[in-house]
Amino acid sequence: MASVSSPLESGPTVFLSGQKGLRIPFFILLLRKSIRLFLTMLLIPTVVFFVLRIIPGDPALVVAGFDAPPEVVENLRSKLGTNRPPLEQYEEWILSVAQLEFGTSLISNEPVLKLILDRFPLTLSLAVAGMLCALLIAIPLGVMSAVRRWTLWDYGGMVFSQIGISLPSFWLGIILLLLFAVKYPLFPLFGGDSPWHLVLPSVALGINRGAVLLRLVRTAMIEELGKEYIITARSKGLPELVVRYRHALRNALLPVLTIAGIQFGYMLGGAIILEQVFSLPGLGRLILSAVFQRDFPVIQGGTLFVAAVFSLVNFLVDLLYSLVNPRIRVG
Amino acid sequence: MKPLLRVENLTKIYPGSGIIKRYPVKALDNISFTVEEGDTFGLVGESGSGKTTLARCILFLEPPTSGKVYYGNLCLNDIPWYHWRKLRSRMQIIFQDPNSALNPRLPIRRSLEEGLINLGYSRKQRNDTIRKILDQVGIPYNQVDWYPHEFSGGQKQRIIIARALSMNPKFIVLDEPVSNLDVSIQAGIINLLMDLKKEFNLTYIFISHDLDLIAYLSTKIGVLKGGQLVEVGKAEDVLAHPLHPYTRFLLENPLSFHSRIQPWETLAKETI
Amino acid sequence: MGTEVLLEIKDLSVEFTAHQRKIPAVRGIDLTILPGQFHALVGESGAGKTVTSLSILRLLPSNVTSLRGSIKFNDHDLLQLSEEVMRNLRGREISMIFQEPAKYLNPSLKAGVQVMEAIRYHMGYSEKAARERVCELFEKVGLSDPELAFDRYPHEFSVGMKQRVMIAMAISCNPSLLIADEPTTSLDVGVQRQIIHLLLDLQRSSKMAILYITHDLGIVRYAADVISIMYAGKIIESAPKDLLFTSPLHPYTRLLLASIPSREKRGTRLQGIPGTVPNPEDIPPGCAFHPRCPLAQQKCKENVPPLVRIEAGHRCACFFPGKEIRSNP
Repeated sequence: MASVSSPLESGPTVFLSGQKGLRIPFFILLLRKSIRLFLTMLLIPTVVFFVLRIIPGDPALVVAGFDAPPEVVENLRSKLGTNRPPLEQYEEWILSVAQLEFGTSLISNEPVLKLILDRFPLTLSLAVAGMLCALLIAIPLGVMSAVRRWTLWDYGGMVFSQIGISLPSFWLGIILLLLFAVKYPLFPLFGGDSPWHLVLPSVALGINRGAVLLRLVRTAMIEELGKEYIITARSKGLPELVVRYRHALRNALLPVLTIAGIQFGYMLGGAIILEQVFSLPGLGRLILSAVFQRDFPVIQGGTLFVAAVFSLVNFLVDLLYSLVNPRIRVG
Repeated sequence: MKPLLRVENLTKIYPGSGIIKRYPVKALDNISFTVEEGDTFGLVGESGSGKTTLARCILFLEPPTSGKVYYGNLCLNDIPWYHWRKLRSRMQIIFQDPNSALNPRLPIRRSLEEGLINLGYSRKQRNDTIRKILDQVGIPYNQVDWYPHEFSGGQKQRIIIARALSMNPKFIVLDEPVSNLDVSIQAGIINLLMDLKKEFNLTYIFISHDLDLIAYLSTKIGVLKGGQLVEVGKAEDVLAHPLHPYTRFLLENPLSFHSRIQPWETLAKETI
Repeated sequence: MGTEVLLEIKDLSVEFTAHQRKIPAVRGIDLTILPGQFHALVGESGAGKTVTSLSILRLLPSNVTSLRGSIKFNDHDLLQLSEEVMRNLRGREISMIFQEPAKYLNPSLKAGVQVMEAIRYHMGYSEKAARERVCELFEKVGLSDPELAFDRYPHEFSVGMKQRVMIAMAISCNPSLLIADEPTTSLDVGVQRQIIHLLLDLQRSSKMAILYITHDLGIVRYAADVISIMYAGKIIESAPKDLLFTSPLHPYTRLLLASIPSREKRGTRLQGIPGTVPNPEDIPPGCAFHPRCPLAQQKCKENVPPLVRIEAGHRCACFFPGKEIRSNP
């Protein structure tokens, strides 16, 4: 019973509205984004190298101390390689980075890569747990706030989010420690060798980040619930929960996903203050102590690593985004 | 009748986007026509036919990719930019959406004044002109300090017509001037436009998707399809003896109010 | 069968509240739709057409503060039903399509999935059976490659095709009433034609009634069985197609019909209606049309003319139905 138009018209067989609506195959998208990631990865070591050279002062002098004997300083210079021409240094740096060789720590004499990789699992699990916690707070509360706008629920959510945003996470961390490790010793006070150690810091991190995401979820949900396709979904007789979670939330999560991805990237750089509060041997603390001790190879390697992980996470979020949002996959 | 506007082989190509491969879009393809003084040149076309692009290209609001536009004996392609300001007042354009054509933050007096200041009118001359012109389009002068949102859509379109008229133009391009208005308001605006045309000896290029409307008011009709002018001619001829199948298709639209075709006559043909 | 009524709206009024002001959008309308009938509800912007249609489905926005009257659908008053029962009716017995299908389709769900939802929810089909049914529906509404269409996202269709997807969605559970809110406005002539023919075809083949909301009298003249004309929240005239176009009674209807330009009217002046469509916030007292009406007298300013039967099937709300209008110069 398909209707056929007059011969002048594009009949029902024409599907797409011109070249514009064509869907890009996923592997091409992957290829494109991978090229972009590769270029970023090339750029990062260069930037790290030059930034560290541009900063005024002689690293060797800083590390050895200003009153150190000249031969000690000279010795350090050759160890750091800062006495050679910059281009040669750059070449060597890039080559060593390519071989994942970041040098050894000036303090502990251990390879920088090993130091980083020792600390990274903890940071990663903290970031994952923190993000999970943040989403678990933000999504249900945000949806509820949006659905029951201008009611007590909504105001409650807003107050919570305001507090969560304004309270520094270290303070939250300390309060949580005092409550659940000291007064009611449910969780260990410090250290990072079991999952239990991660509960309190992830909650502290989650409340802080979740508070921001909550507002985002609320705003996006209010916007989506006001859109016309919601009326369509309701006119089909779908239950309200399906309308909210299957139709509205799916679209509302798009902007949230972008911000959450960036937040997650930051978390992977180590939550320096929280690691300090909970005495967790994470990446943040490693870099922080390297800064205090002027441990140049560790600073350099750590910066590089964090930047690389950040770009990698962004790459993954980008891919995920284009999977969730079909509209982005058109050329 | 002498030709007022002549369009010769006008083509507009948009480059298109994309890194690896670009698909240039040919919005207008080799369009030629002449509009004589006092004509109402009706251009009919559906969405994507290039009617708005054509309107913009005629007035050089967008430079055509190739082709020439003559205004009288003047070739608009050769006009240096510093002469355009003067020339612009001679040719006005009115768009479909009356809401976006008036600055919502200014009382309509200010919107009406701007062009007149540009022409070097004194305050008194400006007030006299505005009073006269508002009277002409049927807006009471005591509403001159109102803001656009205090007027209805039809009234806004009247104010925009007044603004175009105050520049003392020779010809006006009307790009779907009534499509956003209610049916009962449309007729009033069309009547107004036709009265003004007679009174000020104007020439119109009237663009619309509605063939009934074009058929009602045009002296000459051009049919645009996919960037090409598939048919152009005297209104009577085009209506009585359409040559292009697309024109015939538009004229035989059963959904037109004046069509007497009944569903059972076409339904059997058009469905399987 | 002949006297059976599918939908009967009685004295429906809907009031919004915005900025602490009451805005009457619909002011007491009566409307009857028979099974399988193509009923057109015609009116200009702000006449209350869309509000009427949304109140049938009870999908009015939350700033509606008053909803009175009754809407009988197969002898159930829709306004009295529980939300649960109402939800079971939506999409199954009464469904709706809209203007601008691009906005009314969820951009991030596949077309097939969106059509499938109502089938699965109302008829309890399995995933596989529902998929088959969707493909059948796509075929029925003229989407040539159903399997391919199923997995496409809304933005990958042209506007006309999107409207076909919407129609497939609306008819998926064989409703007895389809509400179509300006479904062809802003579509090109050819596409408009296809959609109208599709709707007429569905109406005939599945005995589905259509409440078609529009301001386009051309479409109405072509497709409708019965026409009701709305002005400022009231129905002012209602008649079968032939009666309405051959002997319109209300001055508004008559002026409106005379306002439409055509090639036959070349060289003559269009009729036109002075003034503007009243804003729902301040509707004139008495007959809402009186400030624009050439026949208006003192009586019209003070009393609201009731919608009364003039002849069989022809109702009109005017104190001077059919009185000659001397056209003002």
